[in-house]
Amino acid sequence: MTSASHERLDPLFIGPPTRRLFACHHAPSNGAAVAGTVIAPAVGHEYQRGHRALRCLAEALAASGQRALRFDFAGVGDSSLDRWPEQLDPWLADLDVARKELELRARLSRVGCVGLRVGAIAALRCGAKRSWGGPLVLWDPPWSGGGLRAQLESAQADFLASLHATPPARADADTLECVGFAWPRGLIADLEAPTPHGAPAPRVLLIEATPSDRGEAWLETLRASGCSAARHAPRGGRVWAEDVDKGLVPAEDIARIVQFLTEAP
Amino acid sequence: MTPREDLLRLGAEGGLIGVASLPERDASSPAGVGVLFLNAGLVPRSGPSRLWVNLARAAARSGRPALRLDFSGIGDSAPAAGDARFEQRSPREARLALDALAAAAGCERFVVAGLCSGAEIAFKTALADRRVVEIVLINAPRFLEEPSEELVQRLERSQAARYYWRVALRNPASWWKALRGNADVKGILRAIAARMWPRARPASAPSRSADARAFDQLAERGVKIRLVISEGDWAQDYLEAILGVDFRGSAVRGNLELLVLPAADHLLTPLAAQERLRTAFDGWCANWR
Repeated sequence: MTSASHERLDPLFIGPPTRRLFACHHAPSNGAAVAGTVIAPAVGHEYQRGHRALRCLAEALAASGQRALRFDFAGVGDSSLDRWPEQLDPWLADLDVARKELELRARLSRVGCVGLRVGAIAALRCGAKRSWGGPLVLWDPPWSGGGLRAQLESAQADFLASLHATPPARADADTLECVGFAWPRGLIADLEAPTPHGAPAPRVLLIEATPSDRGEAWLETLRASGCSAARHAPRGGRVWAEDVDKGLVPAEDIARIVQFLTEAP
Repeated sequence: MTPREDLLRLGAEGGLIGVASLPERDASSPAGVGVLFLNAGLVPRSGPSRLWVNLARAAARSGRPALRLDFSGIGDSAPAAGDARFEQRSPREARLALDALAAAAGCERFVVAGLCSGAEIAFKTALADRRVVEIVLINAPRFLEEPSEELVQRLERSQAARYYWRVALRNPASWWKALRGNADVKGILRAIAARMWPRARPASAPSRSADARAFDQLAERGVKIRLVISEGDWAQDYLEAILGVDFRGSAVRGNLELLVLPAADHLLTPLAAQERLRTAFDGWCANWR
């Protein structure tokens, strides 16, 4: 199916029947691709806020001659299941399914990855288990401002302050409510675990709207081990935190990501 | 257990993308009513806080096929060809989705649900398509007509008064701002006075409006209209203004049924609000034949 004139867009379900993942495959309209990138989304309220930016990124990659595969983790977007996992491992397996799907479709052995927010953590952990063959972009992993849990609590407090009345407190102690979603506390703890050692990809780009000490230390470690590691300060701010109806697309940041993913090693 | 879900591609070159949640049923039993969920503004078809996915799957589990659709240019759907405005083309796209759900699941009658601009399109779709037997309108900001400047100002005053009354008056930071002379105290007092002693609504205007006539038209056709409103949302004041009724007095009027969700925002973000809607939705589903 055609989308924009420079790309072919095919929505599909991937993965086993009990865990079907919704995905969109973007390919150059001429079919020839020199590289491929899996795009791992944010989750929760950040998923829908970041959706447009990631779609535009995939389109831009197809226009530059790459293949891209966007997908939804299980329990997110249009993928199967209604609950999120207590640990990150099932989502790492989902990302691996997406990677294998793109490797198979594009007949490319060197597939890279762009991960947004929680998707960035998953991309990093996935790369630590089996290094990405292509470049890796971590887009605003939740490392600044006291970490993920503090960020979620702050987002929920800001949201509650905007309401005319306070919703009833929930009795579920195993989850943290954040802007419309119940985050399992075990998952939050797992997402806050220390950054894995070793290079997750031959080249890495870290994008942080608010630079974190953790990010800087991680980049230093990567450089010391001989990995090519760069940093980018986004011009478009935190698009994943903005109202969906603003329809924001961080064009300059997308152009920087595409440049990084398409430049020669 | 997630029900079976199929991708549907509609429209020219299959550029419109939807996901159908399909019930387990044997081929000989009638499919009955299908449910269509429309985009809430620019929110992708999974819905605000994934609400459409949850409700579509609940519908399928209770035997009703359901489709969540991305209008052109939203979510994963391709941009529209041509220069038709969203308000003109989206009801056509919604009707394409009804055709697709009819083909995929054999439904002949439909419920169309929308939130915010999706509610507006659901209303227009029901007017244009007699297969629609029920609409679920969540925080509809308007219907057929562009509200007049006078009405917009009146509703904005009402909204401001509600904010001052419920939020600002209880917030020490607001009092500090007022004491330092950084607040429009006269405006605040006017807004609060308007809330405490509301002026009578114009008696003649509502019955003549195209919106009011459209509601009458759907009533004559027997179309059920479920109005879901977050308490204090613009939609409540707007509905009261254009229909000339006070919904606070009664939950049910003719073909209209009202569900007010307390402590909820425009997008029904709090989990408590989502759960309340889900409970109501399960009850509606059970009655769709």
